[in-house]
Amino acid sequence: MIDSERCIGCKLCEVVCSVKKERVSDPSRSRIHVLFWEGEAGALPVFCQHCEEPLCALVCPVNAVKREESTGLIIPDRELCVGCGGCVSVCPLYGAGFDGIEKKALRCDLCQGDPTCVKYCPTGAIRFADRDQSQIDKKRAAARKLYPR
Amino acid sequence: MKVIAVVGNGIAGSEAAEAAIRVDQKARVVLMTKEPFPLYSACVLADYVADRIPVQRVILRTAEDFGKAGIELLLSSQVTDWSAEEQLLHFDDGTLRYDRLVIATGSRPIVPDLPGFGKQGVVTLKTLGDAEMLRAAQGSAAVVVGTGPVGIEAAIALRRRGWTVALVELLDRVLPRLFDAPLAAALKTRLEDHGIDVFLGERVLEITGKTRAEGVKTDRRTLAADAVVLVIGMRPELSLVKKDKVALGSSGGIQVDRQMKTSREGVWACGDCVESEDLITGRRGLFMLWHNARLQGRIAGANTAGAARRYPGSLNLTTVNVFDETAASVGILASEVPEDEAMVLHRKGPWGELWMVLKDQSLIGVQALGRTERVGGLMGMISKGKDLRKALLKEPNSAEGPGGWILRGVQKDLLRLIDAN
Repeated sequence: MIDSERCIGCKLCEVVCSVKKERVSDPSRSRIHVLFWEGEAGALPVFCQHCEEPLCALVCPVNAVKREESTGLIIPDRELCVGCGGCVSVCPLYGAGFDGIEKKALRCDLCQGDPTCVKYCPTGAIRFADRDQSQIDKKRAAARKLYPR
Repeated sequence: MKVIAVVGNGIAGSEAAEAAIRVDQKARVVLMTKEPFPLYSACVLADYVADRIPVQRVILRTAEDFGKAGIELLLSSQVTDWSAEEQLLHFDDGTLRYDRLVIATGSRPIVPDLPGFGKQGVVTLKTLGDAEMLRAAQGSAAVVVGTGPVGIEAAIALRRRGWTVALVELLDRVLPRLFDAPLAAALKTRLEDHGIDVFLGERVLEITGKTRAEGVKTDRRTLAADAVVLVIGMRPELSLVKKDKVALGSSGGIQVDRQMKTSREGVWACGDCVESEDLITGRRGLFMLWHNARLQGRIAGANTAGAARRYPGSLNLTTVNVFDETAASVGILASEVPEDEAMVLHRKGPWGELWMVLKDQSLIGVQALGRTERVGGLMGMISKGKDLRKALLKEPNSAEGPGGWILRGVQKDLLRLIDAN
């Protein structure tokens, strides 16, 4: 869950993700990325949303992107992946990560339910919440925007 | 029992067969191909030619996989004729009567009317058989005619195999239908840095040699060639549908409605052989890409079995790899629009380069070199007449997708460009 108003653009999430998942500090190999608002103090962290109808899975020329049965997450099969970067180009949510050295597609996999970026985010801009609760939270936030108390 | 016949085992035909059996487990689904292999990825043939992947990673399904799914797979089974009224497919050794038909015959390489093209050593790169031929080819000098994605990949694959490679392109830049001049120039440099000669604005006149290819003569020079790869484009494979059995669109592809139905009752079509509508621009044309074929196949197959799914449209987005560099493009190129009507925002970063093609206040196309996330990320912003100023000037909100944020990442130059017009 992202609260873009809290994001200060420190990009710690990118660093710790790459350290945790790739064992090296390399934001280019992170599975989360931060988009910046030029000239203003705004930023948005983005990562794979495990879409119901994933475009990345459709685009993969070796059908390597599948939904993991146990978790429901969209995960590229590292052995099948040929590193073409098609999924990186097509994702409409800036959600695909890429290991440019091994040429393999990467996806946020929620760190087995204990996301590292959440632990390190200094402002709580990234939170990990139960899906149903997060839907309720989003609706409350939208309602508050429409009807401020 | 309903018999659903699918002609062609590319990704479109394969998805169609799998979708059909999923929707109607009781149907008899017969999937046929003229090739001796089951489903393989035409997109990674160049990686196989270059020896970067084994053939096991090119072939995506085995005959056993199809059998387990309840699909009858007929390999090396070319359809010799189609009796459309009688609903019969003819083979060398028999016929098949069907209730529903899916045409998924794909595309064929355009072979120019060139003197000498029948010589030994002249190949295309469309099938796994072609890839095997290239891998087995003897010689040291190769000439690749055409610089579309397949041509570029073929040239790189042969270079990786140690061949001397020259690329010949008729137009003024490489990958002319994907990229404008600046990005194309960057890719040309990459190719040349790796020892591939690139000749632009040149026309191939003849392939010289006796029975074997020895050289390629263009309108400017003669190049030595032990192998000549002809990759100047693809056309829908329509040999099955001759004599107006189904209506064709103006682009030459089979005309289908949103449910992938052809003009003939009980016949659907999908994949490279169909004409479709670009999801973003609304243009009708041929969008012969893996993901379009895949989704079209899924929808056509489901619908033969009784569903009523609709195809949203084709996505004209392509990613190309030039040695270790990636480039991608979506939408319309600046060069496809009258010169004074398009503006291009160019941005360079540690992640690579971005070109946003603008017309009036709208985004019409995106190209990127290096990290290509912004191409897909901006897809949603490319829509007819969408005023980018409005998108930029409103407050960001959490419901907004990354598209708006990517625009905000370049907003100074973007606003300046839009205001200048």
